[in-house]
Amino acid sequence: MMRKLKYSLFLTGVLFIYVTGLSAQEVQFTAATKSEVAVGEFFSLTYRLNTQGSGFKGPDFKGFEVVNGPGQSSSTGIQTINGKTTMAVQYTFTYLLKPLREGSFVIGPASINVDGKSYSSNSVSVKVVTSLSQPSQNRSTPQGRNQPQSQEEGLSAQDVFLRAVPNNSTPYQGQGIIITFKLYTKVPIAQIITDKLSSFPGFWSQDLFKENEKFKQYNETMNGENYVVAEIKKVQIFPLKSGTLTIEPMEMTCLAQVRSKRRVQTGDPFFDNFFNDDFFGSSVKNVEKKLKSNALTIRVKSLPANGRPADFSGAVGSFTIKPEIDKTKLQANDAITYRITITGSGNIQLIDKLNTSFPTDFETYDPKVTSNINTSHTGVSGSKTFEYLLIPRNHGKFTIPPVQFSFFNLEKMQYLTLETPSYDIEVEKGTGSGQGYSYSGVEKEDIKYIGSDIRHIDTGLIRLQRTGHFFFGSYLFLSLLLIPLILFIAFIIIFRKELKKRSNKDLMRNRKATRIAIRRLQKAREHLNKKEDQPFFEEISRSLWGYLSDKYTIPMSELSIDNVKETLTGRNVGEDIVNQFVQALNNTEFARFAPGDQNMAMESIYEEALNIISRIERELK
Amino acid sequence: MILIRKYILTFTSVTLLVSLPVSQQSLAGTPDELIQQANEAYTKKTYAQSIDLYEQVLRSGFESSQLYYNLGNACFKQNQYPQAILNYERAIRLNPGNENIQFNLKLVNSKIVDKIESVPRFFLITWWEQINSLTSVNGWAWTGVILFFISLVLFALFFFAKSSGIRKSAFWLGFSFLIFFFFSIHFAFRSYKNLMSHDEAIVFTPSVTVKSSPDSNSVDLFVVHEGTKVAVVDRIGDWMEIRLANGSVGWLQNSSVELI
Repeated sequence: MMRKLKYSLFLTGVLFIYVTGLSAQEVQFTAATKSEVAVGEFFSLTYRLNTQGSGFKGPDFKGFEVVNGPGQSSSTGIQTINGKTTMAVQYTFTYLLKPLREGSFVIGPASINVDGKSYSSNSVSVKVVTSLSQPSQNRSTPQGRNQPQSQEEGLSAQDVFLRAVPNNSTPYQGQGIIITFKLYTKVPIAQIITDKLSSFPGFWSQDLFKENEKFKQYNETMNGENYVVAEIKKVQIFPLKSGTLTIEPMEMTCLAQVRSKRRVQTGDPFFDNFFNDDFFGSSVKNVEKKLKSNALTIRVKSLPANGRPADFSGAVGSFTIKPEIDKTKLQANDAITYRITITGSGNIQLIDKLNTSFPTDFETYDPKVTSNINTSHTGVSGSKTFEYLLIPRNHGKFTIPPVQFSFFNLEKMQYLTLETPSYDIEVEKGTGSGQGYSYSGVEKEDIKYIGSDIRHIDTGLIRLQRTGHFFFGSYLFLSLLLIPLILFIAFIIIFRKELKKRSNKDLMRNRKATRIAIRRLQKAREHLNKKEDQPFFEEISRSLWGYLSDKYTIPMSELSIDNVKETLTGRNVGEDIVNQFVQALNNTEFARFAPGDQNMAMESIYEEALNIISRIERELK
Repeated sequence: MILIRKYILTFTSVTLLVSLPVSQQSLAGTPDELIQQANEAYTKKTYAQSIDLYEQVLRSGFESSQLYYNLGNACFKQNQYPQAILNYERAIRLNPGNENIQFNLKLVNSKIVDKIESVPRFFLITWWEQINSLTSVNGWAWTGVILFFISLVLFALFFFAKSSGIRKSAFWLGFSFLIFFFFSIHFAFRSYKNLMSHDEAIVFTPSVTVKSSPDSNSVDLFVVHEGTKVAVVDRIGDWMEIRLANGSVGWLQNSSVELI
């Protein structure tokens, strides 16, 4: 029984081989991959099918990241063995995987349909370890360039690396330097992704490549090895300050295409790429590689201090200046367009204003600045135009003073100053409605109050007073009012009394005046009778003068023959009386000193004096 | 022996009494020195210190228009607007014509919450008050004294002069000077009364509800905010009746305002 079974099995086996040999090949669908990988390492998983299939369905990659795939390729091989030709077809489906964590994983079977029948591949087990002894990712250190070739699927540092090359590492402040980021490679590069651009702290930078510009590629030999060099980025940077400045490295990720070792290399990766194409049956693996350029240290020299013009604003390079003015003769309130163009190469974009001054009678506006900057691989050049709009508001002759522009010339290593000519502007009176405006002058503006703040404290001498104590109502105040008042009243009273007294005295004297005069006249009468001429005249004179003095309260000393007339007239004495009185006085004085017999004269003078006194007495009554 | 001890005791106590205020004064400095320090502190922008120093001078029983003005400035810089207004108001009472005080008061009044339109008044009253505010109480008092003196001199001239022309003009001049004297005394008295009556106040509480009667349960009339100047019309207990510049009248508690 057992033997019988064995036999039948054998028989069927022979039969089966026979059948397959006659009709078609057996469908083979297998999966293959590395058994051990490191975390983060890229590896490929390949499914091979020996016939044409459709509806490939990949497994569930748990614990892995599918970087790429499934990538399909096919190869056809024609084989002739012992005169018998067979054709072999192979379809491959490739995944590029990246393990996410360590451990042992089983990648399940993939399935495919061949002639309406579903086939499943084998499962593969992958052991993921932390890291392998030979890392597949290399640091792009220049020192590592001479290390031996790494594993088949790895990339060495000298295969692909990134360099930043400055054309000058000791520029002057404001001098532009060009930094080229070059990718050196020996292998074909599928893709480049920029992870981190260089930062240029302390610089003003200008990208010299235009958008979507093709990388410039050329061959370069370095350390005896041939490389294809691609200029990935070119930047012109202008140092804004002096000192040692560092440029951070640029970081990139590239996907390099790596073939198996058995492939013949021509030494030209791009050429290789062509021949080792998938079409020719080779399997190319995309290997991700992080690249980092070298950091640069730039020593920026400060510009020389001697010879620096006062209006120097930091322009470095070589420039020319071109002024343009559209008119020099115009009417008031018309506009002048004054254009200054600075052309040249250097840090032209950093020129932000010109030191212009215009006549104060001109209304000026902020300039319109237009810049026309060309970036080429050799640096930044171009022009910047400052367009000023000037409106003269009054007629007259004006001069636009020259505009000076200073820059540091790197070729001559010195400061140069460019100057525009000055323009004489002739402004005529405006016509029409503009005239009134031109006469009214510049529009009056209210003072613009930018901020409001209180006025400053009083720092002068502060006269303190006791709280609640005022001069008003104080004793001092009252006494200052009362004392003058009391004094005044007292004064008035005293004055009044004095006045009364004096008027009494005058009255008495007035009353006495006649009596005294009469007494003196009587005395004079006695002298007349005795014929004593001198005492007689004396008495007459005294009686007349004394009467006058007493009657009109004039001191005797103030009286004289010259002023008696005025004195009496001023005191409301009748004119003929005054005249008579003066006559009497004169006669007395004349008779007194006249020679000869005085008897007759004495008689008449006595009569006269008596007359005048009695007359005044009558008048006053 | 006891007598001697007693004597010594009295002596020491007397010296203590005498020396105590002296030492205190030397510690704090004279008011003038304090003002000097305060002004310096203000210039150095240490406003809190200058406020403290100015207030020290005020506490020592002195006042001055400039002192209140400077204190008001320092308060303003510290954003203490009600205090600033209070001090400016006090300053302007002592020196009504000062332009700086008027300016700063106007400025600080623009910073407070309440904007109150004052009721327009009869122009003669406004004029009268403007004339009154030409100078302070003491200014008017001194003017009065001088005018009175001049009128007395003129009256004396009237009595003494013999020429009737001089007598006539001296009399009328003296008479008009006497009238001016009465005016200035009137103004002085008005200002004095104003200063002494304390019938104006500044609201110090950030927000006060003014009531219809002196009772916290009465109807709310309106709300005033800190810095607003009110006139005190009447007082009952803890309450005072106030009038705003726009004529609104109501009651609020004494504690929410500070009398000028």
